[in-house]
Amino acid sequence: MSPAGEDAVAIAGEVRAGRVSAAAVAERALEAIAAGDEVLGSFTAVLAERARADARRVDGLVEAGEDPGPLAGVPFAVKNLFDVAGEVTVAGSKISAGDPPAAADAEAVVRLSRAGAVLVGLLNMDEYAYGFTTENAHYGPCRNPHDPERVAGGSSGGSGAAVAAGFVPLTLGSDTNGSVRVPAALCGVYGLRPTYGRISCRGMFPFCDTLDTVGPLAASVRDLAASFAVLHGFDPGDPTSADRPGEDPADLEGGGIGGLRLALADGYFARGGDPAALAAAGELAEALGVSRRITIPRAGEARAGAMVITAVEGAHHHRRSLATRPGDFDPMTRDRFLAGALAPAGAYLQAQAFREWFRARMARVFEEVDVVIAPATPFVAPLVGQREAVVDGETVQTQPYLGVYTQPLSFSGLPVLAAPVRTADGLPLGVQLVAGHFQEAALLRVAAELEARGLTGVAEVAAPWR
Amino acid sequence: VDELETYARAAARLLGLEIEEAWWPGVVRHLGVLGDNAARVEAVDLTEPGGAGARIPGQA
Repeated sequence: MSPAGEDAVAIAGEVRAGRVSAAAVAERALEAIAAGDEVLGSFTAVLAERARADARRVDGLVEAGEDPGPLAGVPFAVKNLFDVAGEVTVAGSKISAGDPPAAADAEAVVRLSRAGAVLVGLLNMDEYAYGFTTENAHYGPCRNPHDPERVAGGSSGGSGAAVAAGFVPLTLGSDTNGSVRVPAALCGVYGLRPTYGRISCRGMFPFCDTLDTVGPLAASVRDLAASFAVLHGFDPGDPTSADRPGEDPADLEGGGIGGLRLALADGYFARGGDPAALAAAGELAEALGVSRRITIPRAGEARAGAMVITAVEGAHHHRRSLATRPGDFDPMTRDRFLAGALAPAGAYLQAQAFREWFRARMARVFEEVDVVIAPATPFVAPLVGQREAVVDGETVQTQPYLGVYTQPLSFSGLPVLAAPVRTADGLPLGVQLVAGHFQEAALLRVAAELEARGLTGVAEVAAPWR
Repeated sequence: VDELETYARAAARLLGLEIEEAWWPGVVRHLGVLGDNAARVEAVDLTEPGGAGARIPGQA
């Protein structure tokens, strides 16, 4: 929620009706960030001047009796890998910090701004989006608003923390292997990874072209729906954009789960996590009366394939910097990019061939069901600096293991929504809702039902760091 | 120096990558993980029904 305790849709309603000015909303967001973000480190830049100018423009439209857009006056912030005109797109790195400023906004930023939303800043992330914890060597760690001793998740950690802290009700992240869903789960907010190609990636610093997606993180399901409504749609300027008709916004506003075939993922998704993480998915399924179980085929191999493709494509983007200034990478990123650069081409091609096989298998799964429920992360947010965790008696590397349930699903390009649940110890966890390609509306219907029943929702943050 | 590191050092020379000695253990460890992942993918029989095309996916 925003500092005023409102979600984006509520704010837009007030601004559109002229009951509150966009300028006042923007000032409240800027004040909240100034008061609270020194501890959390979710923002890497605050764009006060732009926010005030954009807010004045929105207020001018309202005063003139013109439509200011469905997200009028909603303060939002974006992961710092999105181009913002006049700002350097650092993508969490020291290397790109020396680049010239972006000439224009990324397409996703354009679409939100056109809808009346007001950009207030840029958000912390793992270097070049290669990570799940946002412990950035250059800009500092992004801390979890529920417990600043813990990470916010990643790689869109700032995007999750800024919403959870109430600085802004809406942010943009990117999701290649789980980088929207992991921070959404660990920070206790909603996050959507859309179908691959559904939201334009133009103007977003690439990580892994064949897996990258843009996704919103928000304080409520209706905020996810409202932002997705304006964000999605074909962009001829993005070669990965899917050329197909957009959804009617009315179809994204819930409507119950009648007629939807739901199932709980078993097998791979029912093991390898803390009991609380696994129980969260099972309890939601039970509450919805879902008895069906379904097996995602070869999920472990899908995660393995995603790791190969990510390392190779990611390294390829940075091959010049790896050759000329490897010492300027975050050490956690550098070694993995170097390994990706050295991997044989055959490994990459076989992973892509397997991916096509996996996509076909997943399409068959979604001939039988409409939405699958699965855990989002194997455990709650680890401590900052924690490198290992014990799961099922086995020691795992905390950072990569956070993606154990998100990576297989990204591999097939399916849309996935992360919904927040709260554990007994007060720390958030997430549950993934997965649907067939381009079936985001089904995900939003199920998520809205869960939220309406009080089974998921954004928890208030005690905010001892303020 | 094992076979993987021998391969990695040769490949790095070929690619013009200058890798500091202190970084090699981490690079080789990550390359080993990639090798394990690649082997796991390689073991899947893609002639099973479901399509075995090598077309690069991603265009949904």
